[in-house]
Amino acid sequence: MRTQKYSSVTSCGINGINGVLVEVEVTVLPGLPSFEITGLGDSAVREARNRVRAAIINSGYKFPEGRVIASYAPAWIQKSGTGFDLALALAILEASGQIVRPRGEEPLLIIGELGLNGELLGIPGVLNRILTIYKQRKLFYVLGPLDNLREAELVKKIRYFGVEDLKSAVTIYSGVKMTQKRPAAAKKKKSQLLPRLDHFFGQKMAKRALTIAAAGYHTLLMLGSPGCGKTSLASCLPGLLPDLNEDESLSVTMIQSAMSKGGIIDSLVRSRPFLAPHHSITGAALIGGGSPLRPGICTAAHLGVLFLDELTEFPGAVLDLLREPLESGQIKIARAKEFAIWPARFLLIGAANPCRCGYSLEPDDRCRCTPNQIRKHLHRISGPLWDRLNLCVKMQSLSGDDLLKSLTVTVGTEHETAASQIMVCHDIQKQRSRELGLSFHYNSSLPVVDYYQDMKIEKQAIKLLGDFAEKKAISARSYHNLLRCSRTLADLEQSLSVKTEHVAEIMQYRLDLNTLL
Amino acid sequence: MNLRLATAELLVLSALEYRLSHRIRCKLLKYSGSMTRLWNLLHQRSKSDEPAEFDLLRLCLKNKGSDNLLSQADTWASQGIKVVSVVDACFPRKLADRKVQISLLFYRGVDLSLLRERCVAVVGSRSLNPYGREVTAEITRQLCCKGYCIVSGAAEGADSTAHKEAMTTGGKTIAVLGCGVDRVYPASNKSLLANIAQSGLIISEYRPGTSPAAKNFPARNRIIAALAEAVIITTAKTKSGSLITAKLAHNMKVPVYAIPGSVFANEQRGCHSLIKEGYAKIITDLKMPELNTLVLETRATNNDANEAATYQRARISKSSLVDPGQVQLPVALNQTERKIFELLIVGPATMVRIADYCGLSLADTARILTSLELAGFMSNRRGHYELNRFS
Repeated sequence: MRTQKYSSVTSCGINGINGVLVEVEVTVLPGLPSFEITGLGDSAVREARNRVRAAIINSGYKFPEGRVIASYAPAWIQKSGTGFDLALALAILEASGQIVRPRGEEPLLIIGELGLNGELLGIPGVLNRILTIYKQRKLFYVLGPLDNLREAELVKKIRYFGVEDLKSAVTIYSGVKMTQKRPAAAKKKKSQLLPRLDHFFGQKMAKRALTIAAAGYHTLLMLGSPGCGKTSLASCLPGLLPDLNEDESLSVTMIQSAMSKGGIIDSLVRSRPFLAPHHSITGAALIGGGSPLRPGICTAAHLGVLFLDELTEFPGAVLDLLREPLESGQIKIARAKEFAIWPARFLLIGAANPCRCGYSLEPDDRCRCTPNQIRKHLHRISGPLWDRLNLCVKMQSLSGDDLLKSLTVTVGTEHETAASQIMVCHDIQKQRSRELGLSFHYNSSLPVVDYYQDMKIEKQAIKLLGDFAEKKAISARSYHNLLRCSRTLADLEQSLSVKTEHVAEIMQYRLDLNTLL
Repeated sequence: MNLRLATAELLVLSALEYRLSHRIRCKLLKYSGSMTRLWNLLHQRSKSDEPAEFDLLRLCLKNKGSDNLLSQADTWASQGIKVVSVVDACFPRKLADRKVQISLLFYRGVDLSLLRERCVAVVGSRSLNPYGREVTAEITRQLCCKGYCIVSGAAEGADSTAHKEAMTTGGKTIAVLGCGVDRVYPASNKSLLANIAQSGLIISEYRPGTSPAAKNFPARNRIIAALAEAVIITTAKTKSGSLITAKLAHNMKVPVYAIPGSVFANEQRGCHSLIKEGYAKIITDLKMPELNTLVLETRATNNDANEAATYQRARISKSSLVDPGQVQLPVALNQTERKIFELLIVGPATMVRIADYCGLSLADTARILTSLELAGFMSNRRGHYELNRFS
């Protein structure tokens, strides 16, 4: 009887943003020389045959003769990407008897992409894979590309062996201790100069609205003439929002790692993501989709900002996909074969022109759009989505006088004041949610009915809101959102209770389509 | 009987409508004497003395098929659409004029006798500010109480306000459409047009089913101008469609009146230029002594006391309104609020402008504006705050 030519190693793939443990099995059977991979792999997985064969031969090993079959188990899960290359190569070498993992060695997780010369290349999603095994507490040792060393070391409890090529990988696999090389120090990124609020002259109302929106993560719509500064003001947000804390940072880094296209992550992401997709975006790109399921822009903007410039130009069906995540802070996608839940608690900032020509908010009579044309223009955004836009600010172009002033910007404290106000406001909200035992902390997602008492709204403020609701037919959702926004405003001014003045101010930032016609 | 007659009339019309000029239409109709007779003539052999266009019409009728026309005409007739031609006795002479050139008129509503009433056209722009709305409604009320029938174009804004106000005051109103009388345009006027069909008259020169093409509207303005004894432009921006009506009316020697406003208000620019260029006379008092000079005799049924009573009734139904002639600043205003009023009387202003003017923070301004808005003193329109009533 011939000896069994079989080997099995553990690797890990990515499904959405979570890792999935995959057992890479290889057997060499007698027969005509061939090499097959089974287990629902995509093109990148199938093409591994050429990469692995070349890497093995070019590293001085022998590619086994006979029928080589590789199987990725569990075989029913779709696999994608190049992260299985190294595991496959090591399994082939072991199955063909060229290397052996000594008994008693700790089990290893093996990940990494191979180059044709046997070089080991970095892959996206290393952090996700490592966090997965950390949570499952099955494996504690990982063998992977040297390029990903810094990313892997973000999880302290896992020992990561970073290697440069297949040969060194074989050395580690065979149980020989090696000193850990360090990857070349990452080039220090030039600290990017973020746009500041005081770079932009005027538009005080928009700045105030932006501060309130950022403080409580309330959705904001900026309406205004072309060139009045909607996009510029929105670009100040990354600089205004406070950095992520440890937990938030880990989940954002994880999402970015899974969605990065080859970029190497070497530290936790501290600044909040700011995503501004073009309006030609598809539904699958916005909330996620495809096969296998991949997260979309909404998830990438988790805990950050989703800025939709030219909101009225987005396809209506695509915009309406935002309705559920705006409410729940999550994206749930169900397909016949798969089901995924991804986090998507983002700050939605929209910018749009108030009519087709764009000038209906100007004091002069440049705009000749009829009320019907304006209605048509605005109705590209569906009613239910309008209902979810909490704050709205109408912006006019700067006057000639102000234009001149805007050229000589003096750096003031406006930006820092707003940023610190927002930071304090975030802290207050965190404190409140901790006291209430909530898992999230922004006012925008506070369940009003359950925590009405804790929102501490004064009786007179409620009465004012009641008067207002009676005059304008507003939905229960907008009523609650008015309360939430008022709470944020009170937090911004560090007031314990929500007073009439807070409600009164918020009302001026409420969206009322009728006032736009 | 009526239905059959209407059907026949509509049928002829479909044939007539076939790219024939006003002159030829009139010639054919005059030759036949009535539309029913024209229809019958078309089904007979050609005669030597008849106009040459008859053969063209016969060809057209053959192409379309009598049955098709009949079923279409039935549908129209069942919707209550009727038609009157230039040879009919009840056809308003004003519309057959050289400058109007209408040979067929479709209508829906009570009956054509409304066209013989003394009509005044009240037209204005589609986007209204509070001033425009108030002034349109008020002048309509005044006119209705004097027994005038209000003619307007059933467009959004001033036109709709005029129609609505005329009906609530209990007056008569005629809507002149730029599309078929069975069409609803703009869609927001669905209930308004249904109401007018109940108690007033909807007319159009276009055959039923015609969609509201942009070119139809300036053309329909000539009907408005021709029907009215006077045309009143309540609000108009520069290049407004109402200015076309005014100029058409001026050419037809129909007196035109325009209502002035603040020199800062874009909504009144068109009116101001009409007055300046001599197309329109200015209206300085809504009690309208100007219009009274136009009224040659008071209608027998409408003596002064009667008129005053009707007006009062209309007024009471609008009791929330202050008499526009006597707007005073609300008594309970404090210093800042007074200052805001001062600014807004000049013209609409943004929140930032108000804050700068009063020397307040943006937050405080927002608070005060909310309270003034809730009290009904002002409203926000397109990012600008404006007073609900002008003094």
